[in-house]
Amino acid sequence: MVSVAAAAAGEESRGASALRRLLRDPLGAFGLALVALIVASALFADVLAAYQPTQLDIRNRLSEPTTLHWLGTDQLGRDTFARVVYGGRIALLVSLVSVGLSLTVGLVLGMLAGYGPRWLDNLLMLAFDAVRSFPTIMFALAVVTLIGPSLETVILIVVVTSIPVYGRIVRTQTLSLKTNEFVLAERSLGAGPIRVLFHHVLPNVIGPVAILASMEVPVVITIEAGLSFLGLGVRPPTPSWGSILNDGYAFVRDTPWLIAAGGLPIILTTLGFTFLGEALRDIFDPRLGRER
Amino acid sequence: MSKTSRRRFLAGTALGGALATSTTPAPAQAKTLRIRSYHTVQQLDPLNRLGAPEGDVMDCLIPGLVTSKGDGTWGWTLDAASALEQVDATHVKFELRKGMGWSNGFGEVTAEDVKYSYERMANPEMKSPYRGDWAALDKVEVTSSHTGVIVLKEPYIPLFTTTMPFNSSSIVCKAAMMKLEGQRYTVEPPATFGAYKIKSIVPRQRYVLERNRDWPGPQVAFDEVEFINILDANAAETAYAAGEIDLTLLPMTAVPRVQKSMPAKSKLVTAPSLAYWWLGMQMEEGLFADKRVRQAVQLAVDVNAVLEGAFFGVAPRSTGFIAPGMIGHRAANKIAKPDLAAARKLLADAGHPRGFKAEIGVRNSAEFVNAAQVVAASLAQIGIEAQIQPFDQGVQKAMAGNDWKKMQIHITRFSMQPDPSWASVWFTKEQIGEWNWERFPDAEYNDLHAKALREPDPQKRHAMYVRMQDIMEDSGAYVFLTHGINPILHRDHFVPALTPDANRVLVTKFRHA
Repeated sequence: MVSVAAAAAGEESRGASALRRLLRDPLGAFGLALVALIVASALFADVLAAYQPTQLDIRNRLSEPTTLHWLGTDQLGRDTFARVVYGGRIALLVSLVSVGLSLTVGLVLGMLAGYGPRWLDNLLMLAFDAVRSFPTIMFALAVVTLIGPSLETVILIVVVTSIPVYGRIVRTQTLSLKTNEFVLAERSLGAGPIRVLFHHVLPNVIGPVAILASMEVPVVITIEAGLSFLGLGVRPPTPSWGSILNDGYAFVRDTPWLIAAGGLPIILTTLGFTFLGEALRDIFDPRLGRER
Repeated sequence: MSKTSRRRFLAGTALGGALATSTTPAPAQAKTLRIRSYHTVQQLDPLNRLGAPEGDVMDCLIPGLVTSKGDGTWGWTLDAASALEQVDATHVKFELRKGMGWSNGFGEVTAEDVKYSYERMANPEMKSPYRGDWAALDKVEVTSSHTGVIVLKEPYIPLFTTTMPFNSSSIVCKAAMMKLEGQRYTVEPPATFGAYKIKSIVPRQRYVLERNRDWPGPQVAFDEVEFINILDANAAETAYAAGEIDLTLLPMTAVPRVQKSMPAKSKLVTAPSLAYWWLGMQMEEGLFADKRVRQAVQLAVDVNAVLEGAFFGVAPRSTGFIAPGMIGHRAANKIAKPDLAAARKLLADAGHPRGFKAEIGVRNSAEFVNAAQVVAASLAQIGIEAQIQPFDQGVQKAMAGNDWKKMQIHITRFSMQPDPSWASVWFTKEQIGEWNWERFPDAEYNDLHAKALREPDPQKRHAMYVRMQDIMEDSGAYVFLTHGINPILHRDHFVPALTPDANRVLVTKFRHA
């Protein structure tokens, strides 16, 4: 009992230490604050916004910021602030679902490639290389042309193009781990591949991949915004940062507020997740030597 | 010899820059005219031209016997012809100007070239989408090197409104065409003879013309004309502000802003367009096969809100596919304003008291998407939850194969020529599966369309087209939105010649202010 309690206390102090280090790193703390702000604004969008994001008020179109409309209104008189915070929900939904899915599938395929037979490794690497050889935006345009724009299409595009990123890293880690003594010992004791992969390999590769995932979030948000900017992402009238940017571009000579309102959240989210991801990498990646 | 120091170099550069920026881009007698093409010039063959900007270039290089007057009316004036006479309903005599020479050594333009050009357009084997313009052509009889007679199989009323003054009647060089594989070309005619000739072509960027000094017709005002491809409207406005172009089409939503703060030394022309925008409903499959559902949508859509939202209120509501001032223009729509209670009742009678989900297909551009969003808001009030499906290449792609079954509602714009038959033809039964996306199959409509093409009495013809639009509205499948306007922004040092709808830029008739 004592040893379990001590271990738990050790884990807790390790976590607390990591958080302390994160908060002591100015960029890391700034990133964490930005991410927290964006997540909170998306979660509490219905509380923060005084209007529905699709509510039209055509006579009041393209108004400048006022006390009623903090970021002004768009070309159909919709409240831009409401569209920005509700658009945050779409951005986070797309990024979390697609990063989660691609991380999971990439983990499994990467471990199979690294631990499985040579032919499977070759086959999976060929598939990963084939997918990565397409520029993402070209691949996205082709998929949207074939099956039409929608939220699900955006998620599908991101998942398919991101799986190789995780798969390759996990494969490399797995290849290096599978010849380690503790894995060989486990195998000599009769452990099957599933037990080895999920009890020994997975815990050792999940950390770096999770850090990579946190840095992929802004990439995914940018892809979603890019597709919506081109009118190929989330369908109107659902708010999306990319579609707000598109509206802003169309009416940039009438008002600069729309384009600022669509662009700023993308910049802040990218900065937030990038700073946070880099700080986490500095803390958890032993090769950088800071953990010691 | 004085050495150039860094300081002296910088000072010189600064002075040069200051002088350059202080130069105004529009001298009083500019020799070059720079026009924005909102669509890439890529098909200058009359068989396959794609849009108005290509027609504008063709007018300069390969004119027809006659052309639009360019004086604000829909009349025509002689161009390659020195004389033209309609002898009776099926015979038109013409005489070509003397001394019009083909480029590249193909000799003088003759009546054989006219015969070849018009019979080529009418030939079904050439599969021109504009074949209908010459569908009534029987033959062109050549009576001498410079004279001939256009012989029609039957009277064709739109001959002098939509066929002769526009590019289905551009003259191509028979001798040069016979040397081409398939007798077709794309961006560069094998020989030209018009008021301008080709100076240079930068594919997908610019098409530069220079004065053809051998042209025996009226002399043009500008020595050079550059057609510059700028597809994006915002980029075009920036180019105009920077002095890079002299004339551009603006989006309708830009009109209030430009009127409020007009660029220096510029003029804005806002011409009522002949094109027509409408909301159509596919009436053959699914929920919308029930007329009550279609009528509910007709009664629910707030057209004035659509016009205010999508076009900032600058485009008036239309009453059909025929614009004001033309034969067949309807005085009013049967449904003047929304009636939500009646719409809800119709939906309930049709078995959908709580509405349903539907899809609106539109072209992926701001005006269409905004219009669809306002329509979706209107439909939400009667319980129809409409999803918007933007298509990059327009709704046409969505109608291919069996996909039309999924497309319940669409918002579309068709361009138009100054004859009602140019619009009515797309809604005939024969066009189901092609351009009749509502799959509107009315026999009386078809009959009227055919009769109106041969009816010489303008009043009877007018009544026929009005009736045809009534039938369309009664079917429940149509909500007519607007014809829109064409706003043209140009420098004030020249007077542009435009068709009355400003859809066509008649460069050879421009003059200095």
